Amino acid sequence: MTPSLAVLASTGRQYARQPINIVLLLVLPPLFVFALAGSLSTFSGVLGGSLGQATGAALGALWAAALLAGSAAFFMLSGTRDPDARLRVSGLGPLALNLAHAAGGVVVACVAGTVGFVMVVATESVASPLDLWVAIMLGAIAYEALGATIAFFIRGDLEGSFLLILVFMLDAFVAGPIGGASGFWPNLFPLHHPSQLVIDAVLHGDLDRTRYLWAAAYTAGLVVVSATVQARGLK
Amino acid sequence: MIAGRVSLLLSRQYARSPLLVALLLVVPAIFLNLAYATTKNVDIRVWVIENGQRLPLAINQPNLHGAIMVPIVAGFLAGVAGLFVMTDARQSDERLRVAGLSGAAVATMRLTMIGVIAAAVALISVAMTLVNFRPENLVGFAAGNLIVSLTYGCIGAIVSVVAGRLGGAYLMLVIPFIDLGIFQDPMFISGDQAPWMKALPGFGGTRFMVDAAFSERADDWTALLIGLLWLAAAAVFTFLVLRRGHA
Repeated sequence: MTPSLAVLASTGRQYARQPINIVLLLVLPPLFVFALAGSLSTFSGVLGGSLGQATGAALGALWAAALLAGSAAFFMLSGTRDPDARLRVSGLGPLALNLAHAAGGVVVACVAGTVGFVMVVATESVASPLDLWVAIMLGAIAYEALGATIAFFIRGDLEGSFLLILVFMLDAFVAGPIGGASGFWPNLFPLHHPSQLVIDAVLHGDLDRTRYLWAAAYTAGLVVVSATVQARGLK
Repeated sequence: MIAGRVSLLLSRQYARSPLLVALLLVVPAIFLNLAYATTKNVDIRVWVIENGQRLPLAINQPNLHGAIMVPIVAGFLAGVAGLFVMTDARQSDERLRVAGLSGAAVATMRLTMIGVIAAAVALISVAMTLVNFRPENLVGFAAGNLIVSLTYGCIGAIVSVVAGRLGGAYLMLVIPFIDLGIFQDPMFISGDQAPWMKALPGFGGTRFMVDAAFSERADDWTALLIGLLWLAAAAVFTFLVLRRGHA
């Protein structure tokens, strides 16, 4: 077994030792989907918009995956600082450690995103399920990278959570499809384009390729930033 | 008495973190002002109590956003604060018990700390929204937000014991969002809420806050009573859980 796989397996065992973490990862995305399905269409109707129950459900899946992936990355990394330092002292390379942490985060993002996605596809009519899944994963991995980057710069759980909450609330309530933000600055938020992709995937499946490219580039950029700061921290 | 002195002493660790203090000010300031500035200028129907009768009012959406985002911010931050005050406290509380403090005194001390942080979060959020939005009844508006914030501070503390650090973080990021951000928000739920939505912790305080924000008198007494009952139940349960943990 390679060192990265060994670290990943131990992280998984540690995560699984608290079954409530797994239960919540499986229960919370459907709860988000259910909560947003009806209420978002009401809100959109008030504003004369066209967001229906299916798009509300899909946005719920995206937001749940992003929030859970971001918080998991932040708390898993901030909780492993001391063991990581010891592993480095005992000879484990920074690349192996980084790969293991990144893989752990991707697993959480995949599980949270896929559970919400399955819930949406099972209950609503979706024009392009593959595009919907890809858009949810782009948002989840962007938040995973964001959580990991916050964990590098901010030591305290409380401070890191506050920052994650601020970004998420702005993303969901101001820069996203339910906010009225206009101009360039909403583009700077991780879920701005994935949210639009999710809506297009549900409604007609005809996705704007430039938007896809922007969302993918933004997520890739966040992953690179996160990997760079983690690598520097582990030197 | 000793619980008060120790809680004051331990609270200093939070005041010593400039980043935490800055975030406590910056998060509500940025979010509340941006939410107000970017909201579309349309009217939304909101139900309030006027002279004992429940009546609909047409409220400009930026004003409604300015009001409703306050308990959302306060609930989020107070819940997370309640969670991490308790996860951070485990080791030091065990030492305080070894040093002779009773379980009840330690529980009272932690409850006081959570209450002070939750009250600070609520009052800062109220102050920040006043830049753009003036509620009809400021005292009632602040009281409603205080109830929500304190209740969620206690819920965060209970969740820390039940779900631990990561599970607790999952819960305290999701529960306030769904309760306050969706089911208690008149922009998402028009008309009367389903009975089960009224059973959620954010209902009483938020509805009393909405009434105080937009009607001349803050007189939705039923909502206030429900909010206070939730707060009392959350505080008592938190005390019992913490005392049991330190027995």
